[in-house]
Amino acid sequence: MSSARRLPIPAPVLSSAVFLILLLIGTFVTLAFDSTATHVEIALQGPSAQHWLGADSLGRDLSLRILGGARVSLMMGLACSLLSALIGIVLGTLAGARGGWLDNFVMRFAEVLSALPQLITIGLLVIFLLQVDPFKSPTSSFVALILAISLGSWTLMARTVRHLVAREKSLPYSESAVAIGASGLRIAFRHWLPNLAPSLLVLIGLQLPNFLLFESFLSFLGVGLQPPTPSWGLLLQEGWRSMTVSPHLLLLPAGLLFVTVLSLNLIFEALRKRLLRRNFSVDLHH
Amino acid sequence: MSLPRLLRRLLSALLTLLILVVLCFSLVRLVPGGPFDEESHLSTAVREYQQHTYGFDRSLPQQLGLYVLQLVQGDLGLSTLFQGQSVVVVISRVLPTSLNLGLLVLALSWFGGIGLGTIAFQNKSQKIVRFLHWLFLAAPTLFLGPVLILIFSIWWNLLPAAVDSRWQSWVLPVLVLAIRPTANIARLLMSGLDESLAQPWVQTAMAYGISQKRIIGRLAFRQSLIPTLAYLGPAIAGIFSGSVIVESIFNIQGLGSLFAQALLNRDYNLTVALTLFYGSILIGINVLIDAVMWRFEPRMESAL
Repeated sequence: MSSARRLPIPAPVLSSAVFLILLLIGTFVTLAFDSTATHVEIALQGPSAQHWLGADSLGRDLSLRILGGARVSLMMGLACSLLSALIGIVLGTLAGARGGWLDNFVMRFAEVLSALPQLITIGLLVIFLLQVDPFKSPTSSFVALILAISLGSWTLMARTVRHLVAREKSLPYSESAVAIGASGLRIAFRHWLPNLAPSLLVLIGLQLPNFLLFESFLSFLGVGLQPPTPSWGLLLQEGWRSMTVSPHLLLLPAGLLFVTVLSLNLIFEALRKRLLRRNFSVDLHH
Repeated sequence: MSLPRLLRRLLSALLTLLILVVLCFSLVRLVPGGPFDEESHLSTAVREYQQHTYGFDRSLPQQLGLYVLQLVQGDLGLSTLFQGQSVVVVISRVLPTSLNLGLLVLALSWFGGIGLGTIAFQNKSQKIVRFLHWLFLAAPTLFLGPVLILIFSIWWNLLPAAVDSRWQSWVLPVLVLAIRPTANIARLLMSGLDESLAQPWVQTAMAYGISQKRIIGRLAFRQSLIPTLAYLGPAIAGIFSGSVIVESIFNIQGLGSLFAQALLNRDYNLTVALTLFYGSILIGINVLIDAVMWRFEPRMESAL
């Protein structure tokens, strides 16, 4: 990280700032303006004083679309991280603590899922959930996408947690907790989870860019979020279609996606290194 | 490598494959409604005939049993997207294209990564590779593909934007898919070399005055390859995932774009068949990689 120290502001701090500002402005913009309003007369116009980044092929203000998309995509990414972490932590703790057939079952299931390319698994799950439509709501494509991405990517978390819990279980403090008569749930929530929290949080963060990308991939292919919702995947798809006429429609969302993924990588890689120095293990298993 | 160990590994892989079959099948057949639901103008008789031809009118366990039986015989059912053509025919039609693309990408990233890693290591220019690795890590196929097309095809008019019979048209898709694995392999190799140069036996060799070139080439290289070999499985999975996007962007008629079409059109048999195909290839490749790694490093217990 010597190169990071030479910057006036450390890269991770800068990156966190970029990420937070995007999220805040995105939220504000979606609350204050309508990012789906069309004005055909300004369609495909370049940047101007009134519309800072110009407008897309339907005459929607691009700056509003991109910032609204930032909110949608980042919130989707966060939701997926939390849900997949929840699934992974619960299954991993159960497998690590109980062992036996439960452990075998969970790990075999995880192995099957990780034998597939992730985009393939998630794609399959998405059309399954869209068809079943368990929630019957207008936002079902959001819900289906979040569920599919989380269900398709909890295995890394589950394996890591299982590994870490198995280690914690053998430590003296766990044994004394059992001896005092603490219940399994209490040990898991009051002892193991707080001990493992730093490692797990960093792992969640390291996976966050992947979740952002899966949303973009699927929306780009037409099986994720549906227009006119602004999301980075859909913006890229729209930009891709009108790239020959107005390249900025492609370049701006693509650039923002790049900057976001880069910032997230920098933030959590720095945190991971810091944890490693303090002897927390952040095991990525490949 | 001992035979029982390989057999155990194979059995475990078979079990994984079997669970995958059951999982895919139930996931896809649990979906309410069939592919003919929207064609309401069809009479009941025609509809029933269609349901029967495609086997949708039987119970789920029966369908699964039938499916496994057909699977063993190499029959994966009919595609609804391609008007009742056999799924196997549809897949095998595009397979050569994808195989070409995949092998090209794999070869480029393996040799490119190893070469780049070694050169960077010997010239002490590891920082550049690490920096590039960071950049490429943040540049997914969805970013690189369209942006490179915009720059090289539309602005500079150097390379074709879609794949056709010319070899130049393959440059961009191969590059887009290979960049990430190349950077990863180079970085893994550099860390591996770093690590093995610190080993006592390498230090001993250095003390004897053997040149560093020779040490790297003859001693350290073999050990440093192990992390890159272990990465090959995830790399191939990543190339499969990436090819869904890249083949759609570059208009390549391959497995990836076929999967994207199957998803969009909800072609059950084709989606499952492709998932199974990808899954079984990856499971097979992982067994192969494990076997190779055991040869390289007999002390290793298991791959991951």
